[in-house]
Amino acid sequence: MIFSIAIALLLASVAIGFVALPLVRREEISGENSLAAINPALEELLFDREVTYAAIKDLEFDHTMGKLSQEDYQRLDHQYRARAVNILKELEEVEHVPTDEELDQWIEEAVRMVESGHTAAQGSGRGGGKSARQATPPSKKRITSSAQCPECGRPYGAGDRFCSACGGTLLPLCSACGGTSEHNARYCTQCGTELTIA
Amino acid sequence: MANVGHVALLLSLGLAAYASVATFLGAKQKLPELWKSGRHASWAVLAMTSIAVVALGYALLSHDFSIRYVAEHSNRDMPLFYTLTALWGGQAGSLLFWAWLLSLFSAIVLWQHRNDYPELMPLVASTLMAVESFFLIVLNFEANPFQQLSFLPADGQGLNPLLQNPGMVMHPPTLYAGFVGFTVPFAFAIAALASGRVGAGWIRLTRRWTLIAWLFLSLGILLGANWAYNELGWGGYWAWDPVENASFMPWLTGTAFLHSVMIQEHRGMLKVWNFILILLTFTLALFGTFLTRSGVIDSVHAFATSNIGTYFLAFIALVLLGTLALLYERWDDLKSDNTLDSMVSRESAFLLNNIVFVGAAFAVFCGTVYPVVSELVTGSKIVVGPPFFNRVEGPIFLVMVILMGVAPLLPWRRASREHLMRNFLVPLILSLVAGLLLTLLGTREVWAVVAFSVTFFVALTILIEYYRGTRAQIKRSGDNPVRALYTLVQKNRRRYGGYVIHLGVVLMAVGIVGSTFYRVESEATLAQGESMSVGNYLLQFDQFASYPTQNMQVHAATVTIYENGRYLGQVVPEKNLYIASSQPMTEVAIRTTAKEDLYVILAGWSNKGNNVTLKVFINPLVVWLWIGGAILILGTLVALWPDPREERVLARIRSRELAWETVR
Amino acid sequence: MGEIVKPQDRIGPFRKSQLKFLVGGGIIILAILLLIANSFRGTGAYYITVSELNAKGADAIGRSWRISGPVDKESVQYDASALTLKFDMTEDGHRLPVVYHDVMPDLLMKSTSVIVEGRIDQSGVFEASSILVKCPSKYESQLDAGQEVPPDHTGSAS
Repeated sequence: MIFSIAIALLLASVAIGFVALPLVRREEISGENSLAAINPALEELLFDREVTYAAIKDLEFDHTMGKLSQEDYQRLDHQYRARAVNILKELEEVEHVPTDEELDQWIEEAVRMVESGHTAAQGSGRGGGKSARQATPPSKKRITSSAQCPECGRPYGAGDRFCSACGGTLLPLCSACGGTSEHNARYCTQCGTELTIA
Repeated sequence: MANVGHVALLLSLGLAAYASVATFLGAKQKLPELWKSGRHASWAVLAMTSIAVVALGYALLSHDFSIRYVAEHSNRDMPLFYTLTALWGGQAGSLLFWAWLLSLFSAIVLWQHRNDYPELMPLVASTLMAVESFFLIVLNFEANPFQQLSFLPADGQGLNPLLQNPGMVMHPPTLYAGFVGFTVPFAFAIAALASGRVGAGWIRLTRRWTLIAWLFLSLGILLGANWAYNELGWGGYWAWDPVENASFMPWLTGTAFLHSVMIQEHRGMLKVWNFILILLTFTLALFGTFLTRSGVIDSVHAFATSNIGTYFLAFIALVLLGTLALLYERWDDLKSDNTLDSMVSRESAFLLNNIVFVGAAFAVFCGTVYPVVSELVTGSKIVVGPPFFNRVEGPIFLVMVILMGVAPLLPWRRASREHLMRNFLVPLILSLVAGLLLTLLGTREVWAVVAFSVTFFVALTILIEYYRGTRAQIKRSGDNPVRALYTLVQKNRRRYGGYVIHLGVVLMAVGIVGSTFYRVESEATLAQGESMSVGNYLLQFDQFASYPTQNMQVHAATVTIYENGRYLGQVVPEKNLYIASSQPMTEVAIRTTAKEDLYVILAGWSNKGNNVTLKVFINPLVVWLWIGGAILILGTLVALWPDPREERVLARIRSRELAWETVR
Repeated sequence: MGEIVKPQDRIGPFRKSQLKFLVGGGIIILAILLLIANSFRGTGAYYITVSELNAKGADAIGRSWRISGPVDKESVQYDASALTLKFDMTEDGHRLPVVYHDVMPDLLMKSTSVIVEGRIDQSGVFEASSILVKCPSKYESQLDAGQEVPPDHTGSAS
């Protein structure tokens, strides 16, 4: 009897101790342990993006397997890519919250561009990668162009050489007419404007 | 040991209940320390239930007959192996095993995602622990395996000899693992609904859990069928017994779920439907447990009548109502992103597949609960047997198999006419030719011809799929065919694993059709040296032997088999009397070939064994059922094998979220 | 990303393109329901006890029944050479002679009760097509509660 009471007490105290530990210690709860920090909309979008990418891949697979006619493939592929673009746009909106330093940096950049005679729009989204994208304030108007990354379908602006989403190599985009030219072209093959190289 | 078990069970209940509440409050009040504490409690539940399992195992091994469960389910004569497996041989033990499995699965899930998806995981943990609490309540208050007897019996009563068979040892735990496994996707579904995160996330995260649960359920059903065929001696493998149905219904809805999540992943459709399917699968798993333990429906392997049924019924009602209420709450978020475009597309084939699978489950359900319902409605109990199920499920299964052949060849969204012609013409013509050939060769049963042609068609389309895929891969990479095939499967594991499963199902269908339509049955009483002929076989009774072994008296007839006059060998059907339980037990002799099984039963003997009565079945093609089953399991493993890319995708999502958080 | 739906594409709450799926799905569901209902009519058997059967008298002849009741162990006769099993089921003084042409179930002599399925012939003998055996374990008398019923499919061949 005493033996079983002892066992019971021992088991109970070990269990309770283990359970109470996080409550007592109250260690730095931030980052990975926080419950409120992560944006659910972002996660949804990220999953949606993966699903869309998978669908595009599957479509291509069906096409190579001869299950889809050429025109069906192109039309469907286009639709999925458009959907992917939409998701990426939304992702950018959700993800982007500029910090003070970023805002300062952007203002400096804008001032410098005005001083050197360029319009602010030309500098949009310069270079590839995340840091450059974060330098873009949410309110800034992007050039609306039909040019999309050949790898992932994300639209890009004049002066971009690499895709900000997937890092793919982009065809140079003319800031004047919005047309694309060959790689390494120095002048737009459609209107002759000098291409900005960022 | 009984005391330790009692304490561990009580503590488990307290911890599970605490974990459920703490994780829920942690999510609601945004208190991460509470979430962490709840997580610890879930792990502690695993520790406690493990202690209980070990305690019961120890009690069984040490023959502590003062514990009722040990006295009822083991005795001193039982081999060590079966003594240990008595752990899940009885009601209370199997419930404990179930609770332990659930705590194990929960602990793994919570460990995997201990730092991820903080919106979802506390609610997942809360749901898992709520289910765990339910089982622990039943264990503590209604079916306690550590309940003690007021007297000490000299020996236990032992496990039924029928259950002392390797197949039967593995059958229940695999089934339980399947049932319990579906709790994980169910918990994620509830968490998704409760948190409003109803996109593809929960499906993505539970994809492998669903497959694992399905694997175990399929394996359990197959093992059960195989055991029935080899041990029970009535020549069949499936009797549509309520208990078999209980495991088959969640399998059907689970299979529907596996297919319909693919539509959600690809097209963002059927969100509500997927929630309903996983809810159905989970409640049907509970319902199966309820059926076998409540005594509501007479079944040969039902457990003893007890109050457990009431507990289960109440819990099922709670789960159903709760989930439906959540669904209603979230209705506006669940609108589909897309619409169906064409009747002739893979998604509509999937949709049809879903209707058919759920319809099949519904039919099984109707047949199973009909006695209860008819008694409530008309006052007289009406039962339906195998003829009902065969008549209903036969055509439904045929449609399923046809779909299995057609769907993989259809593209997503829409199929064009030329495409249909190009892809279906050859297999269609070939299978028509095959059907014609079968008819010319003398097959007269219309359904058999149709069924064989259909299975041939499906097998053909699957092989064509493999061929085309490999050819495309060779074109792309220039590899040799073997390497290309490997790469193909490796890169599209779910798809090609799925096709392997389909191939397995086709082979199983061949076995089922063959043994259903072409079974030959014969019986005869033979004097020594006399023979009987069945089909092409001639069976000659040579001699009868009766001798005691350690725990039974063996009665064995030696029978020599000739096929078309050619000597094939001897078989020895037996009928053994277990001395301890004075229970007779038939040991059938089965001679298996690719073409057919010769199934010989020693029905009886007289005149001191100078005359024996043999009952003989010829079951054509049965072996393909087991081969198909093995291939099905193999295909599931292919689909299930860890995919590094999948991990990368989840890691990418996770890192992006962290990055976002840091930037902010 | 839903496509834009023009008002003329809607019929009631549904899009026109979805309607054909609803109709198609409806037809299939209907077909399954009909199949179930139809099979019930063809294969159902009334499940009653021996005394209930006795109360039916001559009405019972020629129909399908599933009957449960205890076996009178004294009456069991098994002729292995003819594969004929005969026994009586008894309940409240009512007796039902049963004949079964198949291998005797292993557990019959240990059963508390059996469930037989079949028809009654003119002479009042029950022709069983299948027998399910319900079985106690030997501690039944000592331990008051019910026991697990060991599985036995014998005779319930499909």
